Amino acid sequence: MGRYVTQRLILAGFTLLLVSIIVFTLLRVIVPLVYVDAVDIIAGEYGHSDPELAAQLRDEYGLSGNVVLQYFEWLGGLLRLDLGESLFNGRAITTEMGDRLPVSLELGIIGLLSAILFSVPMGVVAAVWQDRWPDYVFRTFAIMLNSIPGFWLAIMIITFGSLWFNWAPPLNFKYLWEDPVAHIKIMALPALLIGLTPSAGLMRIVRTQMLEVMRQDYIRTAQAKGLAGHVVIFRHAMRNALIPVVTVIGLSLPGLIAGTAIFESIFTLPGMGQYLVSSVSNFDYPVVQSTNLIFAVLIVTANLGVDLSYPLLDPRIRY
Amino acid sequence: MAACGGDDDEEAAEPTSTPTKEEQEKQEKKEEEVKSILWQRIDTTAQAVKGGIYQGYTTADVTNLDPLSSPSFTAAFSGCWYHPRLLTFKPGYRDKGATGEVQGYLGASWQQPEPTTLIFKLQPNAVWDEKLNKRPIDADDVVFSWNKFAAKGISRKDLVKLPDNPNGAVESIEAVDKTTVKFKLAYPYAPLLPALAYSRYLQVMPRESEGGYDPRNETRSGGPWMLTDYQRSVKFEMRKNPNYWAADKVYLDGFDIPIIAEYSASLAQFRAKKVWALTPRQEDVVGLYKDLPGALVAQGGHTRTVYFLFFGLQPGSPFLDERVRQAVSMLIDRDAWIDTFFNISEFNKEGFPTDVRYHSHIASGWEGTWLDPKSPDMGAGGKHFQKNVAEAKKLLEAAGHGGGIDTDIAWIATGQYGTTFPKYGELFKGFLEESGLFRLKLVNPDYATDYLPNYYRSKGNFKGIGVGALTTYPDLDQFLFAYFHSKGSIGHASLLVDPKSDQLIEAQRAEFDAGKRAAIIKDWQRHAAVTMPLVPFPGQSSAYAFAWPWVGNVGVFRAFDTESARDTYETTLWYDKSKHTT
Repeated sequence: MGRYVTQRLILAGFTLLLVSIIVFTLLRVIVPLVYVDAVDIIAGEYGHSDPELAAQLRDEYGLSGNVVLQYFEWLGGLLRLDLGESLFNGRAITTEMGDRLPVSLELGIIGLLSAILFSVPMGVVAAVWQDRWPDYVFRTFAIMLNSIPGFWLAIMIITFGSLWFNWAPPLNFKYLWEDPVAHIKIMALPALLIGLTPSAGLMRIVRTQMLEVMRQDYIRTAQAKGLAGHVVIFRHAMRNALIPVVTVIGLSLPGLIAGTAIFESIFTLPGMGQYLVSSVSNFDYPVVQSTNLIFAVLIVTANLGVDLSYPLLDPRIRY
Repeated sequence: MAACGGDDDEEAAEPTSTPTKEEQEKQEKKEEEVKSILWQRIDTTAQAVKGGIYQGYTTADVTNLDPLSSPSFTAAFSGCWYHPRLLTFKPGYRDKGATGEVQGYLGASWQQPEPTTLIFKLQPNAVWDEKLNKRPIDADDVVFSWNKFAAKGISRKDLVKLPDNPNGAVESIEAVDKTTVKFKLAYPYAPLLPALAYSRYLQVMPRESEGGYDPRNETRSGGPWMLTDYQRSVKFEMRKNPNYWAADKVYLDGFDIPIIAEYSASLAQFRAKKVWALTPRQEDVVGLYKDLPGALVAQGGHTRTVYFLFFGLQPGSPFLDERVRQAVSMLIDRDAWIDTFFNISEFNKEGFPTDVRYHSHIASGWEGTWLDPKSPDMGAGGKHFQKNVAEAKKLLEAAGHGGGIDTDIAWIATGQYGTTFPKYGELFKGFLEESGLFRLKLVNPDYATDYLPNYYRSKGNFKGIGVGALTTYPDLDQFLFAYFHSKGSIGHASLLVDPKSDQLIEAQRAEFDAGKRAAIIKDWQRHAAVTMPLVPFPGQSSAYAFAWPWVGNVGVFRAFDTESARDTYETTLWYDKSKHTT
């Protein structure tokens, strides 16, 4: 196990290095070559025919000189846990991430938990009562959820909440450690909504897996032994049905965290998604590089976590 | 309801049909009803009490917090709350909008011993906040800020004389003593005073911002408010600055300003009374008015920004001939355009007063200077603002384009000028093509890499027609010079050599008498109506805005420029707790 984890960690290191090189090359070499760079955009606002100004801005933002050296400088900073500074406001990215990452992680994790809480019971019930009314109801519900974008649902809830109940989500964000009650009030709804759409897909996977497992011989044997229905379902069927579900859940987490931008905008939350979107539109290179790397770390970690969880669910799997 | 629909159809078919007496009375009654509910802008200063945090909002974040070096105007939004300026615009009062007249701010008084010298005496008791140990705001701060603006300010070319901007008016600035600042001008320049009142030019910052702290992330206040909390892309929190020299005249304790980019979210927050004022999309006004009977409703003033259709003026371009430009203007159905974008029919149907005005080559919000294109005072060029396809056809035939013109029409399809902007372009394209006189190929250039360099700033060096937006200016001069003078920094029409236009623009900027200056600008409008160097967007009706009644004095002291009025508008608001309902 230890050897396997070490191997995976080394591989993760290489993966992250490769991601950083690809992102850096795209941002700093390819995009400026076929489109523009940050300085072109700023210089465009001032007036296009001012090469002196463009050169001055490049120096000011640390974008002049050898691009390869700039990459190694950024990488060196990364090893010292210094992600650099935003080009436009000079704020340390590490500090900004420190404020924002917990918000996005919390949104993503609560969203995922709510997705699991919705989908697993619904999937199990739908499988156990296959082709009967609970199955039809939950499948219809899942299809409906799958067809409704979460942000649209959020806007509808806010709009009709204000129309019918004179309600709108709180505007003053508070961190959990500042004011736990206010924090829960502002985070609960977006987190729940974030989990709603993926829960539809998850429910369908849980149902399918449960149906497959329920047809296995060992389940028939357990039932023939006279075990109670809930023991068969929860102890024997569900545990085995969950292996692919865990894979999907694990891989959904980074996507959920990265996909929070629109919810952050609607609910005025200081998360990573908004930070990445505004940085991309400004061509704020250090921020884009760093946020991409953070998302890559999340994906690699989630993958590793999923792989390491298999032996816990299925004793036949060993590393 | 069916009858209403029938009336609408009839109106569309016969716009000149006269309503019956009964219909007229009904309409008048409806208008009276709405007028009686329209907010009367009552001055409640005598009852004002101190305290309370105003719940506002904004739609966008700032690039950074340093207005003097940011590559974007957004930084001015934040800075104008806590950085004083030498002057400020005098607010309008109740039904009388602000005119652009200036009054002292950090500059307590000023004098002009000669036309090219301007001397300011600073407020004697102005200090920076506690973070700078209440250090007096002095002339060195002003000089430091000006020099930074002259070196890095995004709009420095509007004012500063530079090697690459020889037409700039301000040559230099010096500190005569700790409380006196002297401006040296290159030539007599009347619009300097409003420019110094404008938030997007000289905001005074402490000299410690160079090396002492990072002004992109930190702020020091010398104005009425302090930025006490800022979370990027989430919120601004402004609080009263107790060290502001006129702090005793500030009623509110502060402002919470979350960033709500999503329109429907801001609408919901207003309905739920979590934000206290809102200017909704005009198509939502009637619905909101019916849904929220407790809210105050008022019509604002006309804006002072006009957008344009501008022309490619490369050799051989048909638009080098003024008759073609006049024809373009005469193909536009201004009333239909204004109706579409300002919801006029709906307002009229519901009895909401509307006040439609056509833009001349200056926006219809420039009270006292704007010439109504429909009035006889506009002279011979007035007819070019009326839709007249037959006349336009004759003009094109006379210009040798009887078979019509094949060319491009370009506008940006992305959101830099707002989500409605592309629709403006579509309607113009429709008007021109509908006449059969233009066959247009649509081009949607990329904003940064194509539109700005190859259309907007190309001085006419492109093919076809551009649909363009522009920024607001504190005074007409910066606008007239930048866009219409042959040496202007934007110079959409500078390839059309027009000495008379140049001469009028130069004359108005040197004229210190307001009345005479307005007369010169009116002459220029008459001239532009004939030569039609650009075609102004059709016009506007003033927008409706809403507020909750516990905002005391809301809309009473009226801002000339919203962003430049944090010391004259926001300071006059107060929180009337007795009227606050949940």
